[in-house]
Amino acid sequence: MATKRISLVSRTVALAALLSVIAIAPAAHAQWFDETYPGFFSLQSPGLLQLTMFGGGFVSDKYGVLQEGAQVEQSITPYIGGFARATGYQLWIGNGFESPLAPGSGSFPRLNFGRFQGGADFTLYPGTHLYVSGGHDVADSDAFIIEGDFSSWLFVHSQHPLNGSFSTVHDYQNGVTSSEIDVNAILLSTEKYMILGGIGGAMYFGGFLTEGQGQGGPDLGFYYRPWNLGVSAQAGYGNAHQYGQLTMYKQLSWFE
Amino acid sequence: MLPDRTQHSAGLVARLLIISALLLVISGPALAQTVAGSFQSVNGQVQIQRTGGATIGAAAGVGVNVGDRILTGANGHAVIILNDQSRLDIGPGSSITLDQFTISGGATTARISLFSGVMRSLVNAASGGSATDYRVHTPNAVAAVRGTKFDTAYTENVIRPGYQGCERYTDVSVYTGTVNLSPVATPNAGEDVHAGYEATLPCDKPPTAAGPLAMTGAVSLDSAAGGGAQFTGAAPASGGAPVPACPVCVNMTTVTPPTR
Repeated sequence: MATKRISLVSRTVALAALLSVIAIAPAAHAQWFDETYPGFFSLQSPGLLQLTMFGGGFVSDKYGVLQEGAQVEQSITPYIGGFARATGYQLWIGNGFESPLAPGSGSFPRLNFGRFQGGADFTLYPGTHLYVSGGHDVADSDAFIIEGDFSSWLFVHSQHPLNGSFSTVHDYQNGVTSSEIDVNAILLSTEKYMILGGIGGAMYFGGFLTEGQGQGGPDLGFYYRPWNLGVSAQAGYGNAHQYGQLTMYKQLSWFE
Repeated sequence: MLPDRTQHSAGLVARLLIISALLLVISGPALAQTVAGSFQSVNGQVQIQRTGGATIGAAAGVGVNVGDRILTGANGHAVIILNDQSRLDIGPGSSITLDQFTISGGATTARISLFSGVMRSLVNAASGGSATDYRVHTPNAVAAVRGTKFDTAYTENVIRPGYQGCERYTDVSVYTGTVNLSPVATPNAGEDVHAGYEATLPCDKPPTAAGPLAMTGAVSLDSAAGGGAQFTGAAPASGGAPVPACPVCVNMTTVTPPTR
């Protein structure tokens, strides 16, 4: 009899505890959500319009690329923005190599094409962004492409915050997926500029590539605050043998 | 004879007291209206609440007195040059009071209260700021400096991720020199913020460790005015520029000669 009563009491206590957890959990979850993503469902006010202009080049023993373009991003909520990007490419290919744009079509010394993309920027956490976009090439390339860019800043409350970024593009015409990964740290911050350093590289898979290819090397970056202008350089070695690349970007932003 | 002299002395003391009281009454407003500087430029809506209660519109050349409260509207912006050539750059939606300003033997002592908004201080720009005791008080923090250029911002009723429900923040962004940021309640528990870095003091907690400018989400005069968003551009892909390498990948395949 006594054992039965203890069992009943323990079951009642367990049930009460379970009900309490069920009752409290959504409230705790809601509080966590409100504190992590305040104003998640509200429109960003004031809105932010950003324009990024960029240009750069890549040169190796096998080929060279110049690119230039602009991206416009409009905030929608504090965590979601829409963006559009237009890029022009000039591709130089070494003698005797197939066109990478349309394999099997022969060798071309130079190819020109443009790429138009649109997509969304998700702020997963302050300093952590995921860009998802899709688009199409015009001129010498006729490919649909899909792209995902992920970037996260860690240890922002320190002398040397760390950034990890991963960017991947899939080309539906030649079937190749190109990915770039970079890890950079802020080496120095002053009133006027920041210096960044790290390592990075690229990997290529699929399509006409019988095996994965890639390259990698050290990164060096410079950001000049008064002009919102950044320069990033990388040099290294890989399937294309020695290579070097340079990227410049300038950011402008306006509150609306 | 003696009682007469006593009465006479008592009357003299009473008269002196009345005169002293009158002098105090007359000189009181004069003391409160010590001119500390003047507006160099004013844009948008900017108002001055004088100590006596009068509110006037600010304009370039108008004097700023100790005790004045300066209010800027949502699009307001004002620059004040203090008598020691220090410069106060007051951003939109701000409210400040110049509590104390004295120059003694070449050294300046200044106390400014920032109740809301953002203000950039360029302390003692002309002389380099030696021997200057300059402090900006917010409701939850004190930013103490010597010869520096920095922004102080106070924000409330806003939730920021990562601060466990706190809704009051003092942000300090330092461009030159060093600022010590400490809670009002524990001024010795401060954090030195050096040039090129920024820090936040949430609620009544100790300040965060400093991080590079425009990286931590701290409010500054540039970010409040819309001139500079947070820096995210170290990685080209995340900064808006696409992957800079080969857009379609290298093709190592050599051209196959046509067969006959």
